[in-house]
Parts: sequence; structure tokens; C-alpha cells
Amino acid sequence: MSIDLTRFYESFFAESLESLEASETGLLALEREHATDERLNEIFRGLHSIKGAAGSLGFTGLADFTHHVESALDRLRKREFDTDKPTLDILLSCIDYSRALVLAAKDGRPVDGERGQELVTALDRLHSTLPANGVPEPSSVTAPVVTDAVPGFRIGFQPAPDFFANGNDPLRILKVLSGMGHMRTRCDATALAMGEAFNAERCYLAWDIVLEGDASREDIEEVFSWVREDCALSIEPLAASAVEAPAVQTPIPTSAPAPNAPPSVAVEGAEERRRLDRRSTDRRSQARSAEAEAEEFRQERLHVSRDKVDALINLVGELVITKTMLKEGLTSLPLEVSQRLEAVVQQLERNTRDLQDSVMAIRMLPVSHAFGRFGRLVRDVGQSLGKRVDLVMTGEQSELDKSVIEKLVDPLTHLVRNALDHGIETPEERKSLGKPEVATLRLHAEHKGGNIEIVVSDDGRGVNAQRVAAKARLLGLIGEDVEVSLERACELIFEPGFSTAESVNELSGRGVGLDVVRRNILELSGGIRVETAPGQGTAFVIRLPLTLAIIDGMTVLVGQETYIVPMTFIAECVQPDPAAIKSVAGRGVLVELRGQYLPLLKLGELIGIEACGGIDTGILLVVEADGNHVALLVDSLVGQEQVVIKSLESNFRKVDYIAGATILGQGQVVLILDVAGLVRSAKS
Amino acid sequence: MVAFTLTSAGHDVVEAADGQQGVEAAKAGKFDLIITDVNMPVMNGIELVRALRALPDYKFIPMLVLTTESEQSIKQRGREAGATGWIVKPFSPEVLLNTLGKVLD
Repeated sequence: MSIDLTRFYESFFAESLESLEASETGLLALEREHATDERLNEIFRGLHSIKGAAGSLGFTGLADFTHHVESALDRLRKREFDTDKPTLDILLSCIDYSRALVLAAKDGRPVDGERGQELVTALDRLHSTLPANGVPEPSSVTAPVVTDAVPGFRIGFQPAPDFFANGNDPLRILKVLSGMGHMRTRCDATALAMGEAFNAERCYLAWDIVLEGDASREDIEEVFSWVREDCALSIEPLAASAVEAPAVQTPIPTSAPAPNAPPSVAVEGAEERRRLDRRSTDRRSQARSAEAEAEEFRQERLHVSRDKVDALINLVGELVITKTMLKEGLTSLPLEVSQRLEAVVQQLERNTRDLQDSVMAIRMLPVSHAFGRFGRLVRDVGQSLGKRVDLVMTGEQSELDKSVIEKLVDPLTHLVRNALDHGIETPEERKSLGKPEVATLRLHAEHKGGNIEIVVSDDGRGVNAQRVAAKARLLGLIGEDVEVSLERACELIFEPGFSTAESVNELSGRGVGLDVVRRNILELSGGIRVETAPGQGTAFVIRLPLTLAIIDGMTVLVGQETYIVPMTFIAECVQPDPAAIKSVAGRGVLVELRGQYLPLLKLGELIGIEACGGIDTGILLVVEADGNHVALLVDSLVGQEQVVIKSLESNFRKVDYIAGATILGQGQVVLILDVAGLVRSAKS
Repeated sequence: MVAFTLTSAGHDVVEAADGQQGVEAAKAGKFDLIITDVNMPVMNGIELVRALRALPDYKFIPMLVLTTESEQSIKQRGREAGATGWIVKPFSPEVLLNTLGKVLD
């Protein structure tokens, strides 16, 4: 996955300007007061941080210039020259110029390149005046007095019993120290509690450490800076005689962790760090080339609260309704008037649609926000299960409403864990089956019409119809001698309480089954289906609407009542043929449609409207949810309309078969059908 | 910048806009390290650390607080709330990555 650098630009510019301001304030303070180390460090840090970040993001001009300023400040910090007025003037000018460079990078303002050269020369001159000022070379001061002593320190380190409580860990400190020179340690375990008195959350150990090398006392103190108040610490320079100690020499990195330490700490510190470094340089060079592509990006970013965006979306929704009202009203006007207004209303219609799209786009985020977390999950879970899995993500740039993404994370997590746990075989098993040992888990997102399709697929063992059938019989979901086809098996796994895992483990078996996944998806007005081939893998295909706020709806009439059926669920509309209606004992009424039998639901009967037409006068909507088709009988179709969904639950209460309410163009309040709920009820 | 540096170094980063969202994100996921600024809307960094430290899953997870030199007392309050350590702003990517070596295995 490549990194999108541009999203870091805005924060980089803002933070750089803040850093410059901090350094500037520090420099100005030097005019009035004595230069303390702390003050000089503060000034130095500001430039140092910009230099580093500018380099990583590829702003080389800024990185180069701040590098010069930084090295001058470093010398200032070492008191190699004085903070007199001319020096401060030069340094302040450098801050100004750095600021100009940041702004130039931000919005293309021109910079005076010659000015930069002048300042660099001036900075260099600051350096070269040093020896003339008679400041001694630092090395001549710090030259060791006792020449035969080995450079280094002896460190006594006794963590407080509650040392772990702040998330600190003595082993990590030892690891850092071991990277600073040649280290030998002796662990004092005399305080270790035994038996019931032992509390794994407390620290009973102390260490006597000899660190040879040229690390300074400051360096060592820095390692302990967070825990000074949580431990007893002594740092003594090594005397020639003291080098023999400690008596028991345990080299760090430790191969056997201390008894009360978390189990996974023994890592080759230096090796680990090298690996990390290598990785970060790889990423950085990748990032630079991406920066070149994104050079056009010079956009301001705003942080806006979600409430404001929601209010805006709500208002646009109301505007859409008002527009529809206006259009309706047009029909009742005399022809010559309405003709003149027609073009205007069409213009309004286009504009509202564009407006609506732009406003919805504010809430759209790439699916990578939901996918991003799975890299880690797959790695960790795969490791703990002893399975080797490659995660491949495609289409993660597809955009989806933020609230949908948030609600998608749980179901996706479950599906991914499910695949790792049940779908993918162990490397040995895969090898014996002639499959590659490393399994592939795919996350894919793709726009399809007004929907987005998200696929979680693996190349594991697939759904086993026999095992599903056995489990279903055990649960009493199907009769003892019922044969289960693969399709039926794929439906059964979504039943509550269903899991074919032999033992419930901590990953997939948290009492949450695929039924919850399906319910979550249905709550988002989406659907989920399974495609599987035994021995080749399983794919869970999730289909979701792009947004939850506005839908395309089909207005239908039942008796005197108007209802809206979301278009995404409608497969087709057909004129019913009374001859195609069959009553089947125990399965209700079915409609034959091109050789397939679909359950027939009479909307009028379901919601208790008596004055509605029968099968001979009505029309059938074939609706689809979860891969199941149902024929829905209504009296007539009125038309297609965009509607804004208003929650019925938050304004009234949950009603069966109703997903929400909306206001039509004429100002009439109508209910939106919960097609998924209807289809479910038809199945049961 | 923190997110960028960490992502570049190969870490998986989840960002939260304020402390409250931070707590929710932490509850929703499983993290090896929490980094928070002190000044945040809704729930500040100190409160965030205190809230997370009270969760069983985060009892021993390292938490770093970003602070500025002028906020010396914040370090103390952060420590009392359960923060593992602090990084003084402004800082460079190198400083951040070196600091990670102190808190990640």
C-alpha cells in the first residue's frame, strides 16, 4: 500500500509555522535574558524538527536551508559563539526566510533565492569567527583525567514495585542501554516474592549494570528520564578497579527474560532497530516519488465538526424536497406559465443534484480507513494460529459515507477473523493439498451503480456442506434426513448460534456469529452473500448503499396508502399472471416466474389494509435481499423519487417492515418499506 | 506529522480527532502504543491517559504525551495519570522513532 503524502502536507505546514514561531520567541527572549541551555535547546528543536519533516516529505529546499540554520544553532547550543545582537539578527532573518520557504511550499509564493545564499554565507561566517573568540575546543575540556580507566558508567537501577503501572518496562530500558555500548548486567532477585505473595503485576528485580563505551552521563540519564521518580538510580563513572564487577555476567540482549517480565521481550535490540531503519528508508524513498505526482496539491484543509456537516446534509435534503414540491406545483399551473417555468425548474433540479452530490462527498472517505487496520490483525492473528497469510487489498480508494464505514468495521473484522480461523488451513495442510503454503486473504472494494461491493475472500478450504449440515441437524435447524446443498449450506451459516468450529476459541468464537454480521449489514440497508468452492476458498460479498441519508425510491400505492420501496432492492416489476399463482401447503403462496417459484407477499394483508386490490388488478415488485427473491404485491406504481430518510425509531418507535419515513413533494409523510425485513419474514 | 512518521516507519496508525474519540478508537482496536497531545478538544490528553489506564486492556500499554517545554507541570500530571513518558514538542521524526525504541519491543 503506497502512502498518500499529500494528506500530511497541511499538518506539516501548520506545525512548521508553529515550530518557527517557538524558535523565534526563544531568540527574541535571548535579547532580554541570559541564554539558558533549556532556551537554546528549545530554539534548536524548532528548526531540527522542520528539517527532519521537510526532508521526509521531499521539500528539499526547505530541508537544506534549515539544515544550515540548525547546525549554526547547534554550535550556539555548545556555546561556540555568543548571542550578541548581530548574531541574533542573522538568526531571526533565517527564521523569516524559513517561514517564507514554508509558505512557498504551501501556496507557491515566490522566494528570493539570493537572500537564502546570503544568509547561508552569514551563518558560515558565524562559525568561522569562533576560534578568534578564544572559545576552547570542547574536546580539550572533556579529555579524561584518568587515562587508564575504561570509559563508561556503573549504573544501579532498582525499579519501584509499581514500575509497570505507567506502561514502563525495565527490560526495554536495558535494551536501549545495551545499544549504547558494551553492557554487562547482574540481576538482583533477592526481593522476589514466592508463592501466593507473588504478584505478576509488580516488579521485584533490581539490576547492577556496567556500561562500557563513550555514552555520556546525559545520554544515560536521558534513557531513564521518564522513570526517575519510579526507581532508585545511581550512575557512577567507572573507576579502573570497578570494571571487574558485576560478578555474575548476564549479557543483554537476554535470551531468557526475567521471571516477572512479559513473555515476548527478548529481542535482539540492535538487529530490530536496523530492520526498522531499513524499512523506514525504503518507505521514505517510495514516498518521495509519490510526492512528485502530487505536486499539484495545494489545497487548504478545514476541520469541521460532524454536527455541522450533518446539519448541512439535512438542509440539502429539505431542499431536495422543496424542489420536488415546486415541480409538483408546476403541473397545476396554466400551460403558458408552466412552460416558461419548466426550464428554470430543470436548472434547479440539476443544481440541487450537484449540490447534493458535493455535500455527500464531504462525508465520503476511502474504504482504506476501514481496511487499514487489517494488516496488523492478519499478521497477529495469523501468527498466533500458526498460519501464514498474505493480505491483498484492492480498490481501497473507493469512497463510502463515513458513518457507513464506521459501522462496517465490526462486520469486516469478524469476516476477516472468520477467514483466518475457519477458512484458511495450516501451512502443513496446505502443502499436503498442493496449495502454496502462504494463503491469500483478499479485501476488495468496488463501486457498482449506487452501491459499493466489498469482498472478503480467502483461498482456504471453503464451506463444507456436510459439516454445515451435521451442525444444523445438531441445532435442530433442519430435519434429520434433509440433504443440504452447497447453496443451502451458505444460507445456514448465517443462522443464529451457528459455528462449525470444533472448539470455541478467543478469536471467532466470541458468541458472535455470522448472523450478527448479516444483521449489521442489513441495518445499513445492504446485503451479504457467500460464494464458495470446496477446497478453493470462500468469498463473502457485501453490498452496501453509498449513503444512508438519501435514497432513490419507488412510490407505490396500496389502497389509499402510499409507501416507498428503495430502488436498490427492486429487481423487476411484473404484471402478475393469475395462472402462475400456486398455493403450496406449508409454504404459503408462491408465484411462478420464468420457471422459478418466489414467495408472494401481499403488502395490503401484511400491513392490514382492507380496501386494496387483489392479484388480478395489482402489480408485482420482485425484490431482492440477501440473495433471496420475493414477489411483493402492490396496487399500483406511482413513480420514482429521491427521498430523504428520516429515522422512525428516533422520532417514533421501531415498526416492523418499516425502515423509516420521508416527506414527499406534496408535503405528504410516507413510510419507507424495510425490504430486507419483508424478505426475512417471507422465508420464515 | 506523527502519523506520517509512524506510517512511514511501517507502523499501523489509527488517528482520533479528540480524546473522546481516542478512547473509543482504543476500545475498538488493540494497540501497542498510544501517543496523545496534551491539548485536545472534548477530552484532553491527560484525561485520555487516565481513562485508558483504567481499562484492563491498557493497564500496561505504553502511552506517550506530547508536550511543550513550558508545560513542566504537565509532565507531572501526566505521570500521575499513568503516562509512560513524554516527547517535547517540537521534535523531529528521528526523535520520535528513537523514542519508539524505548517503548516498543
